Amino acid sequence: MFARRKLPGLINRRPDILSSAGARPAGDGMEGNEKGSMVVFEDVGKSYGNVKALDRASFEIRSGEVLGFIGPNGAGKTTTMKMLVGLLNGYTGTIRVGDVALPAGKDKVHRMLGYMPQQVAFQDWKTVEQTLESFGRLSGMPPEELEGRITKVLQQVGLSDVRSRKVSALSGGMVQRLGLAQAILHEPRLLVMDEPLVGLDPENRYNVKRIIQELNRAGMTIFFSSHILSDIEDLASRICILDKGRILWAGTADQLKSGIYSDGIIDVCVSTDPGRMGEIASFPGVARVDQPGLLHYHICLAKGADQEAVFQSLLSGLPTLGYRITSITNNTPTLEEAYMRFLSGGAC
Amino acid sequence: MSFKVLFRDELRGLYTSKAMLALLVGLPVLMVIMYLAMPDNSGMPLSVFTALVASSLAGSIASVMVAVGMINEKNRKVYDLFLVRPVNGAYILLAKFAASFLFVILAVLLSIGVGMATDVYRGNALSGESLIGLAKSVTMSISMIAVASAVGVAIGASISSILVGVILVLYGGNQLVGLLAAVSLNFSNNFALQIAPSLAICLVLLVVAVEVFKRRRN
Repeated sequence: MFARRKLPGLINRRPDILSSAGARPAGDGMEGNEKGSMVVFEDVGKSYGNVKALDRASFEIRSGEVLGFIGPNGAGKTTTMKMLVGLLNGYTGTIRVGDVALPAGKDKVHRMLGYMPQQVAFQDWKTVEQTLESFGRLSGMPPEELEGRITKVLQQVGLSDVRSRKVSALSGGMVQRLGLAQAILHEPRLLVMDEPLVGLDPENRYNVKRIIQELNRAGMTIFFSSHILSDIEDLASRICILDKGRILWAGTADQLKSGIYSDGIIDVCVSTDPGRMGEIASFPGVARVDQPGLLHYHICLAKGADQEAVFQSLLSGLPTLGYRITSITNNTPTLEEAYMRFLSGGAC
Repeated sequence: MSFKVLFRDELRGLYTSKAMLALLVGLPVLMVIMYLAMPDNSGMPLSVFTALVASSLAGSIASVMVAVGMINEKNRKVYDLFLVRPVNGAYILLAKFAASFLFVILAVLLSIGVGMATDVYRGNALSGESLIGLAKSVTMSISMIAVASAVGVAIGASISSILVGVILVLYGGNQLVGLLAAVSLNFSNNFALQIAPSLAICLVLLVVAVEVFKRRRN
């Protein structure tokens, strides 16, 4: 059983954004839930010499959720995941999986954990089946159950027809799927995946995403990182943003978007840019103008602004400033846009 | 349990490896060729010649193979997937050591067997005390092969560059084995004392390898 646990406040660089969601920042991991926490990081720090890879990070992964981990390269995502799965030691703070504290209870945690690393590599001389057989036995699976389970997992990841093929003869995408197969073979309660969709073609990406959703529906708690934010948005029930070793934010994608663009945005695409967007920021009801693309603008509305009135004033005002509008819509930003805006420190 | 699985895996890996196949078949053949090519063997039986030469050659090959294999797998992070399971990291190294040690001994014994058969065929068979001497010399050789395999494991666990690893094995490892052989000669009247230094060094190297392997995760 996993203890329900509330965390002390998350380190938060952006109280301005989060305060709009209520007295307590939305999605800061403090609300807990009936299922309790599967993983708890409390003030976890890890340094390599003078470099802080993780700086007093606190967050939780709730039982049964899919937590997407995002952050720039070098933010500390892989370090965090490696500490969770017991591949990195020598850190400060506390990591608990269920009721078990790491690293003391590593063996117990390893029995209920599946891990798919960023670079999946196997002993080349083994066949797909031999690879899974070894990992199954090392995970403590009973030999009589192993063969049936291998068959099922290979079907699940679409590798049944290469069961007897040597790992050295597999394509990159197949190796990636074998990485997923070994991670779920022993039916772990917690699945940790570091960039599981990288290097996959669209079909395989779709299939792996489907598998992740199925596993989560079956009750598996999933923690994964990705640079493809549309995948995070598709899969994650919550997201956690990490930068320079610090947890900046945790919550749902919708909470992030509404925190960033709390009062709505109007999406404008133009065919010419006379460089007078600064003047639009002074239009009534406009708080700020973002530029996510070369000829693409987000007009962020001020608190309490009448969206329709602003829409109409843009429609008539932009051409007078020399802009030729190709499209103008009331819009919801993507997670990618909200994330980029979040990292650059802006707010509506 | 996990050691058994890892050891069986390593044996299977060596069994399917072309290098090990070359060693099992090639070493006996090489010994016969070298023996026949010697200008003056002073009537030394092939089996004795093989016991002298094959063990040192096979030991070097074993340590290079183990070190290169380990560095390669370590750099590709193959062991990560073992270490996220309830597996003692030390077993990974011990399984590698045990499997390569076993295979090299097999290759050496096979070579000596071929040598003895050739000696019998040529009417130069060993008998009595010569056989006992050969057995002692083979046991000594086995203890040296253990040291060579342990050197391979220790270097494989500590070094990240294949080139540096091979250089260290060939120079450092061979020097160590040579030194141990020289030390052992001082105890030629006490067989137990003869192999004790090799076994002690082997143990120390394995402990160092395990410790380095563990520290690499900090």
